Amino acid sequence: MFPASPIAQATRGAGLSAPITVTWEVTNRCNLRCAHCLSSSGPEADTRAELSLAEAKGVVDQLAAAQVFQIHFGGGEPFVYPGFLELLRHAQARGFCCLCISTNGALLHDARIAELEALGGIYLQLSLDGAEADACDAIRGPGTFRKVLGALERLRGTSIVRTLNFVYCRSNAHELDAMEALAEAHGATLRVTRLKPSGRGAAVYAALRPTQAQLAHLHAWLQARPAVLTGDTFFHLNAFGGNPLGGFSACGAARMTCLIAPNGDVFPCAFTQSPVFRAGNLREQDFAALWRDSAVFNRAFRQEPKGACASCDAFAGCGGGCPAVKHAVAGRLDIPDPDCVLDTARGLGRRPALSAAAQPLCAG
Amino acid sequence: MASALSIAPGCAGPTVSAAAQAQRSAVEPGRCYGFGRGFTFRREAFGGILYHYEGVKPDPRVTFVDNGFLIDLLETVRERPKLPLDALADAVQAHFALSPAERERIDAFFATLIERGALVPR
Repeated sequence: MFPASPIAQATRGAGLSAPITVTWEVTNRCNLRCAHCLSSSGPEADTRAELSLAEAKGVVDQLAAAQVFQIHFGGGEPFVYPGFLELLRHAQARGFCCLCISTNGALLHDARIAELEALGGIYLQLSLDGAEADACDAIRGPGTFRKVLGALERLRGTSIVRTLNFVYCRSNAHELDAMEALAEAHGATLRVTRLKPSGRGAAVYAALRPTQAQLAHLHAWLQARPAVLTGDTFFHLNAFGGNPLGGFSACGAARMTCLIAPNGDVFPCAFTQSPVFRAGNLREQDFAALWRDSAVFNRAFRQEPKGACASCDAFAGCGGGCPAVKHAVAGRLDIPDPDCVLDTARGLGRRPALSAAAQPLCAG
Repeated sequence: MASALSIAPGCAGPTVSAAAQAQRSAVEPGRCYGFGRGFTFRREAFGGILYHYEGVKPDPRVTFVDNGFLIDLLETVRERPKLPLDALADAVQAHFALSPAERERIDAFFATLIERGALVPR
């Protein structure tokens, strides 16, 4: 194949001229109120500061001018954003031929699915946190499992590419095999992602955070299933050894991706929506300049990581872990990932205490 | 531009190897090629990125190309749709007095893109 540059080298320092993918939470409003929502979305979300459709189209124009390859729409629930389909059409007209949408699936009725299929180039990621109603609904709310299954049935036979997104938690870790079978039965690819303590996820992190044994099982499970997607969220598990997990297997925040919040604020990724990581706002700044010049991006995310991991021989594989999790748990980036699989064994540092916000899961 | 190719790995001698012949034969003589559905690219400081919108494992969505000269070639393919691909490679080889090893690298690049559907016959 090609003489591929080491990805870390290509994206360090000045980094890429533009992100490969931009994640864009178009609204914080959502018809559901999941216990671990990374954006604290819900039906009650205040949308007054969110970008208007005209402003959103302007952002699409900026992303096209910067030669961003892909937009990944999320939220909140993107289908409750007024004019969302018009925004998709505008993005296609600007050359984005594949549009990824993270959705809870509950609003995917027949007419909407037909509209999306007619649009073409749509890639849906449907969230489902268990292969049975009990496991899923404990996290995502009563009746959610049935609604998502209904959407999957309605998508059957369409040309819309789809994944089932499964957040791997302590309470549903036993569902991996069943989720894989469920995805396959519905023509979808399974995408397993990491629970992170951002948004409401911070409040349930202590209760839902997988155990070290579960992480070890997941690593072995993923090693045996290279077709399962992970959204590059489990690269910290590369410290277990074996083949690196697929994808980039590295943190892409501010290097290969970034996040646009509903009000136009820009952050390194969806899990770093803290004021200290705010790079700027697209109502005030041009996207390309912000990506290139942001002090937050350049100083905190594009430099060679320092700190406790610098001398660890597993660093080349795990990259020191997820900055978002480190910051959410301990308020700093120069520590091992709180779920570092070598932390205890090698004495690299004490596992940080959870933040005061951590509390038991309140499902419902 | 030619110096960029000199960094390329490859150990072909002064004659064209069997592998190089196979790579060259992947390009249909006299045929024009364009980009396949869902493929695009952009230039970067280290070379460029080839992106496949429909890439799903094991087919990669993103490929880093660490050679600006190869990105120059892709731009030429995009800008000159009526130029046969083998004619482009011949012209580049003659213009820059490329060695057989360097030419082999271009042929391998095109062969890989054709195999992946990034370049398709027009």
